[in-house]
Amino acid sequence: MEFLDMAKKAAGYFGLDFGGNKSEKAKEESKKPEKEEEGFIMRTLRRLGLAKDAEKVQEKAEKERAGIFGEVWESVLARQFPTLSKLMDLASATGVTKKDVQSIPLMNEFESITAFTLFIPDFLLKKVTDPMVKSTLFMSIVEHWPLLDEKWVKELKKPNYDPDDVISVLRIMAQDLVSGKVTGEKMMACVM
Amino acid sequence: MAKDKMTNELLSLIQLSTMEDKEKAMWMMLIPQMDERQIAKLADSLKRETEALNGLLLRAMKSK
Repeated sequence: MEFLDMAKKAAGYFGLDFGGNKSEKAKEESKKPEKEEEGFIMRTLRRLGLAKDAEKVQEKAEKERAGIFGEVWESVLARQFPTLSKLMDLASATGVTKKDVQSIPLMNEFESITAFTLFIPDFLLKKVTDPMVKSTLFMSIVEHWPLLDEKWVKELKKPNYDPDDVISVLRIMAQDLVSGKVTGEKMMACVM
Repeated sequence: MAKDKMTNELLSLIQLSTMEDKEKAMWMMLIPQMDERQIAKLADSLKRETEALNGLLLRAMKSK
C-alpha cells in the first residue's frame, strides 16, 4: 500500500518507531508528554518576558490547526481508508454490508492508520480517535471482537479515554486479521 | 502550477513555525492529500502565528 510505504519511509527519516513490539517500559515512556527544545523565537520571547503572550498566540494557532487537521483528516479517511471510514459515523459513511467487508483492505487500513498516528501530535490525536469511539458500529465491533480483552472496551468507553488505547486496539485487531485468527466475515456476522 | 507555488510557500512556513518536529512531519505527510483550499487555510494560519510572534518581538525591541 503506497500510503503505508510512504509513512514507513518517513518514519525512518524522522527516527520514529512503528511500535509493533513495544515493551511495557517503552509504552510508559511514550506516554510521557513529549518535550522538545524550544526554538530560537520562543526562547527569545521567553527571555524578553513575553512568554505568556507568545503562548497565547501559539494556543490560538494550535486551535486553528486542529480545525484544519479535522477537515484534512476527513478527506484522508475517505481516500486512504475507505473501508475503515465506513465503520465510523462520518458524513462519508455509507453503511456496512456483509458484501463490502473484506479482511484484507480492513487489515491494510488498520495497519496504515496506526502507522500514520505516529506523526500526529498528542493534542490532535483525539481528532482521529473520537469518530471511532463515538461510532456505535465501531464500538460494537470492538465489543464483539473475539480475542479482545474486556479491559480495552472498558477503557475506550470512559469519557476521558486515552487515545493511545484506541491505537492499541486497532493494532491488536490488525494482528488478529493478519494471523487469520479473525476474519472480516466472521466478525461482521457477530455484529450485524 | 499555482498549487506548487502555494505548497512551496506552505513548506517554508512549516519550517519557520514554532510547532514541534513531530507536527511538522505530520503536515509534510499530509500536504499531498490536501487540496488548494486547505493548503491556503493552513498557510494563512501559520502566517498569522508568525506575524503575531514577530509583532511581539518588534514591540519588545522598540521598548528597549
